Amino acid sequence: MRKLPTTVAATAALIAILASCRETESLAPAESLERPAAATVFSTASSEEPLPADQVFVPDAHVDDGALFFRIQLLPGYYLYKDKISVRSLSDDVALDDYAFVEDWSKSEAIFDEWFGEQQVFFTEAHGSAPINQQTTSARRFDIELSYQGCKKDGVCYVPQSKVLSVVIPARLESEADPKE
Amino acid sequence: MSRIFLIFCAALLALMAGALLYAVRIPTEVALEQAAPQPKTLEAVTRPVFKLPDLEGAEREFVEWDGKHRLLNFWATWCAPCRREIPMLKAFQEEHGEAGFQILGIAVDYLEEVVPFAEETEFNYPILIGQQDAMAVAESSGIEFIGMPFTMIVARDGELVGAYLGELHQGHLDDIVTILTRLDNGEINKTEASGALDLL
Repeated sequence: MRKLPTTVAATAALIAILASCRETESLAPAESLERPAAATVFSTASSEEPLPADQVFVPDAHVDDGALFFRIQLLPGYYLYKDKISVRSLSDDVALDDYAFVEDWSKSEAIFDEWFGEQQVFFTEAHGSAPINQQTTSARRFDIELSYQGCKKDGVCYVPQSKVLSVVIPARLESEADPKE
Repeated sequence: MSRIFLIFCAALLALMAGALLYAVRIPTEVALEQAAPQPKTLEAVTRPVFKLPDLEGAEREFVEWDGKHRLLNFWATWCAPCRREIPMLKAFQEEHGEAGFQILGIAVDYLEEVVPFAEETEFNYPILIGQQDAMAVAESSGIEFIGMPFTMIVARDGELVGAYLGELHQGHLDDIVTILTRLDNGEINKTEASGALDLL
C-alpha cells in the first residue's frame, strides 16, 4: 500500500504528458493559419485521384531588395513545364524586367515526351525572380499575373492556369532610388 | 494484496493511456481528411445537349449522333497524354464505327492551334472546338473539369452513362465495347452498364 502514492503520481504524470500532447495537436490547425497555405496543403495530401489545380499548384510571391521573387509549390506526383511559366506586372507604373528561374532553389529536370521531345519540368517547386522598375520610392501594393501549366505524372494535364497575386513593394530610401527617377 | 493492487493500477494506467492516445489521434485523422478534398461534384445532366463548332466553323448539334454510342473525348494540342490517345481512338473508330460507336473529339483549345494539328493527324472522327463552352459540356457530367484527357460515354439514346478522367488505354476501350454491347443485347440494364463503367 505504501506504493500507492508513487503509482498515483506516475499515473498523474502520464496523464499530464498525454494531455499536453493532445493540446499540441489541437493547436496545430490554428498555428497553420499563420503559415503560407502551401505548407498545410503539401504536408498532408495523399490522394491518388487528381486534385483540383488550386490544390496542386500553390503560387506565392514577394518583393525583396528591388526584385520580385515568385514561387509555385507542387504536390508530390505532379510537375510543371518550365517553359509554360511566366509572370507579368498588371500595374502600369511597376514594370518587371525579364524573369529568371532560381535554379539553386528549384532545379528543373528533363523529361522526355514522345510528342514534345525533351522538356524541362519542376517536380517540387519552381522559384523565379525578376528585377522591378518602379516609378516611386514609397511603399505600395501591385498586382502580378503568374501563369503556368502542369500535369499529374500518370496522365492528366491541367488547363493553363493564371493567378493574380497582390505583392507589396516596401518603401525605398531616396539614396537607394534609381537616378533616373 | 500489494501485488494485486499494483497489477490493478497498471491495468488502469494502460486503459487510461489507450483512451488518451485514441483521443489524441482523432484530430489528426480529421485534419488529413480535410486536407485532401476531391474535385467538386456538380449537378450532372442525364442527357448532354450542346452545340459546338467543328474545324470548318459549322455548328454541330450533339443530337446529330443520336442512335450511336458516343465517346466524347476532351483533348488539347498542348496535352501530351491526350495526343498519346489519338492513334488508339482512330483505330477504335476504324474497328467499331460500323457497329455504332462514335468518337467525338472535343478540343478545349484554340482554332489556330487545332487546325494544323488536325490536318497533320488526319482524324477519322469529328473534331469540335471550344473553350469555356466545351468545359461546360465536360462539367455536365457532374465532375469538375480539372484537366485532360477526359472522356464522357453516352449511350445510343443520348443518356450519359459514364465519364473518365485520365488517359484511356486499350483495356479501357475494350471494356467500354463489352459493356455497351451487353447493354445493346439486353444482358444488362443502363444502371448496371453505368455501374460497370464507373469501375474503369
